[in-house]
Amino acid sequence: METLQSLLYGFSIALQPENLLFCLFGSLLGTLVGVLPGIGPIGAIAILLPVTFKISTTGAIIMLAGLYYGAMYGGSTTSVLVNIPGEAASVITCIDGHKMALQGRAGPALGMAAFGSFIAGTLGLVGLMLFAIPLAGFALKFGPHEYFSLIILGLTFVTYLSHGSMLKAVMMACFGLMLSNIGLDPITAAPRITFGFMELFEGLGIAPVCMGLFGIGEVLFNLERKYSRKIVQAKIRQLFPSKLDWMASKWALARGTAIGFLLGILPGGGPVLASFLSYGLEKKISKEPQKFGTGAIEGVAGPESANNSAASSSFIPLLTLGIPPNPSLAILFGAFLIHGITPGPLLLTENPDVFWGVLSSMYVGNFMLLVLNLPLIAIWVQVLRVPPRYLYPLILMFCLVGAYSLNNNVFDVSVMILFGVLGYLFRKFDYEGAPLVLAFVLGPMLDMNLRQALLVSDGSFADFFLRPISGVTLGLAVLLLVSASFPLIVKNLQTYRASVGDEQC
Amino acid sequence: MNRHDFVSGLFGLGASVFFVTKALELGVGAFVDPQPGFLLFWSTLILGLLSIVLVAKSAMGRYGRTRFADSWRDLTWWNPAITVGLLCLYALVLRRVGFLLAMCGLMALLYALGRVRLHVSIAGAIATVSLAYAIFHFGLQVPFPKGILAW
Repeated sequence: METLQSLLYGFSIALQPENLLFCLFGSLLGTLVGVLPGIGPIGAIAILLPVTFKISTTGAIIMLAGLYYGAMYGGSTTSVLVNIPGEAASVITCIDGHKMALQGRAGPALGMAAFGSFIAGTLGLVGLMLFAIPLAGFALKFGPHEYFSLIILGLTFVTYLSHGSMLKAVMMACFGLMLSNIGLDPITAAPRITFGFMELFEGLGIAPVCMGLFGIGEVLFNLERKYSRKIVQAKIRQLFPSKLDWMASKWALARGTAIGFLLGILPGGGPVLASFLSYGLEKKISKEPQKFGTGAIEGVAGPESANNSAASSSFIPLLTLGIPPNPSLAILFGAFLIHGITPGPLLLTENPDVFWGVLSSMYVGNFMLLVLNLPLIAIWVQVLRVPPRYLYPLILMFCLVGAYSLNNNVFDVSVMILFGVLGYLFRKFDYEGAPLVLAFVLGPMLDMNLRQALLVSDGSFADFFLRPISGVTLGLAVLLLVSASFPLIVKNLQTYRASVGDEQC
Repeated sequence: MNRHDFVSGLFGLGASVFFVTKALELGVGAFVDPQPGFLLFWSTLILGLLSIVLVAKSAMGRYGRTRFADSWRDLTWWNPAITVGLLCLYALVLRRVGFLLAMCGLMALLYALGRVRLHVSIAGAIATVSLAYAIFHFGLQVPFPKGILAW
């Protein structure tokens, strides 16, 4: 009953005209970002961050959150119509979505993606609402040991679930931790690696770093590639899926929602992994797995519902524990801090207007996206026709203006350009940006909690394992690392034995 | 040898050596009394060790064989190079020239780089920069550098 009352309170905030407008703007901009290849939600949230300085905290977070889940909706449009994912979580939708479009069924594919996204996103929000309150209460028992272990688990998950080499992912996480040490020490206030720059006393800003890595870097990477985009020309009809389509998709949708919800909560999980896992599962348990890849609507319903459900549930660790589970929410975490609010277990009691306002706005935003997106598909298709030679300079301009307006100085612009070049090189050399960003954001928290925990326990590491929550969390992290290394060790052993055997022969 | 990984591993190693010295300057402390350089030292040490592993594995050809130039073969690599140059130039002249002029120049050049006709580039640059100026300067009160135009 209390939850319902709080939700109604949240709606009274979310439905204020000003907040409705922020929600609409964020959701539509998110869809645009999702539609346009070349910039993802991470870069876009970072660019939009300075714009939020002049508005209320609740309005700012509502807008940025809208951008995040709006991008999940938009990503499917390009996947279906152009076979190019607008953002990473829609990569898997290309396989069957585009095949459906080629068969003249772009309408049902887009419709199912939108309805699936809405249903899963809304169910994810119900889960968020139900889980957040008990988890926030539980998190109040956490001390520095528990926070340290949780952050380590988060970073382990991010590196474990990285797409490429785990070695490189761990290197990126370490690099992120190093960068997070720049600025004043949180305990002694001693300046660390500031090179004499006053601007570095507060450390590197999350916004210029992310705008550089995911905005400028992405544009630079795409600038050297030839542009070819074949948009499905046929008229898009029957956006509402047929009864047969619904029958075929209902379980895929339910499973996608469940998978997305669980993976969204896990640090390092999130929408991308959820969509891949959902597709894999649907194909595996299908009676006709050969249908997948030829235009199966389940191949659209599952991943699309999974990524939206994950987008909703990924707010649970952010809002209740103060730990962002993925890079997009890491920037949102930065936005909270910039507005003077620390997300975590106390958010619910100290800033209930922000917590419930943002949560309720997500229900509203999901509904807005469903109502607005389907009729607007024709416009999104037109947006897709904008050639990159016009688009990329615009992205660069907004990055430059955004970076300058953070503190009204050129220093942030220079930092952004530097990280743009790094982001480009990281992409070229197959290094992922996600572990770096997450480690960079969590670094100061990790540093403070580790040092506090060591001081409390007289330098003993045993306490990390002896305290129940901390011990279980660290145990999980160790288990993950061992499970990742085990196949490698076995393979190396086999190679070694084979070589020894050859020598003996 | 996988030269990509070899080079990036060397870069990681160089960065870790640099940051380890910085951590030692700051003071690492002991487990009982960790100092400001504590986390920096340990994270940098791990980075250094992993970089050595990467360099060794790439040198042994564990990650396949590539040449450094492979990443740029058949690509218009000069586009990002010129763009980075233009962005750096923008950052250098922004204070002196002012936002409007510097950004208009940059945008016109970026459009031109994408082979947009000259008059379209200039018109496009003026239109987009005016829009950005209206949003950020008038809407969000961002005090852009005025420079030689005194706006």
